[in-house]
Amino acid sequence: MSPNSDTAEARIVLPAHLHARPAGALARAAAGFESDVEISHQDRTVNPVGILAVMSLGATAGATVTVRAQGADAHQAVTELAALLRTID
Amino acid sequence: MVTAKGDAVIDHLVYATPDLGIVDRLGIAVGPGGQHLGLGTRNFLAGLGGGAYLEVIGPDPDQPEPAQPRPFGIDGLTEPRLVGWAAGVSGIVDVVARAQAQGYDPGPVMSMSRQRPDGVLLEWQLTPPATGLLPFLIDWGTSPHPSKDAVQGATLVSFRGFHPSPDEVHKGLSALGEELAVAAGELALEAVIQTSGGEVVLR
Repeated sequence: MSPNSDTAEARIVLPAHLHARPAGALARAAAGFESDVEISHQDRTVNPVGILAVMSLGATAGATVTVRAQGADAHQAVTELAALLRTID
Repeated sequence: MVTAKGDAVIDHLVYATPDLGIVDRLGIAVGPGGQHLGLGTRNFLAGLGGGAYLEVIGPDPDQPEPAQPRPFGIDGLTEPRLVGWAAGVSGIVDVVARAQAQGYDPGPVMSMSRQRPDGVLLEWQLTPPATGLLPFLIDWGTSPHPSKDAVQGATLVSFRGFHPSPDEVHKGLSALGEELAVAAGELALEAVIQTSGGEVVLR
């Protein structure tokens, strides 16, 4: 990855558990970006393109997760994924 | 810094358009900003004096149709519109926390960075860009502000809003620690900008 590419990061407090349905929505959305994207909770970091990987974070309502991206569309990726995570139910 | 009224610090105004061809007949000298890869948009900038700037943003003909709708409701516009504004703050995390404590959530703070072609690293933080009378927040930290490199010559003379229920807007503005003159009327923002050719009113 180019060291000159854009980076973005946001921390989001989850309004609901990050269970299968929102994990699926997150995975579909994340797959649409060319940037490298990752999501972290506590000491685990995964690629959000994988539904099972996202679910393995075990992030529950009220937990804080961090979304990071690096690449040409990193700003858009974090903006949209953060918006998605803020509204899961 | 430019203020809307009271302590509100205007970072920039967002003028969205379905066709960026309007920059040639806007009556305000603007210069190219940049492409927003993946968003399907690009922008042009003009300094407004006092550390503020005007962003004219619209579809980028050099990019394919984006997978998601373009920001600021651009895809639904039939004519240019002053759709939003950003308030410049310092200590954005604390500002957001205070707003949340007063019942208004401007959204998560996002940290962004970009290295310019000249090697300068820009780092800023912002809340999700929004349309309407309530601003989104932006904190440029120690990075050079975009207004410094924007085309100069225009000056923001006044900035105000219209809303069917101004009191509702003032609640949100108060939570953000911002002020904006808001009159009763159909939802709109209005900026009066002085140029060498006269006043230009953007709504």
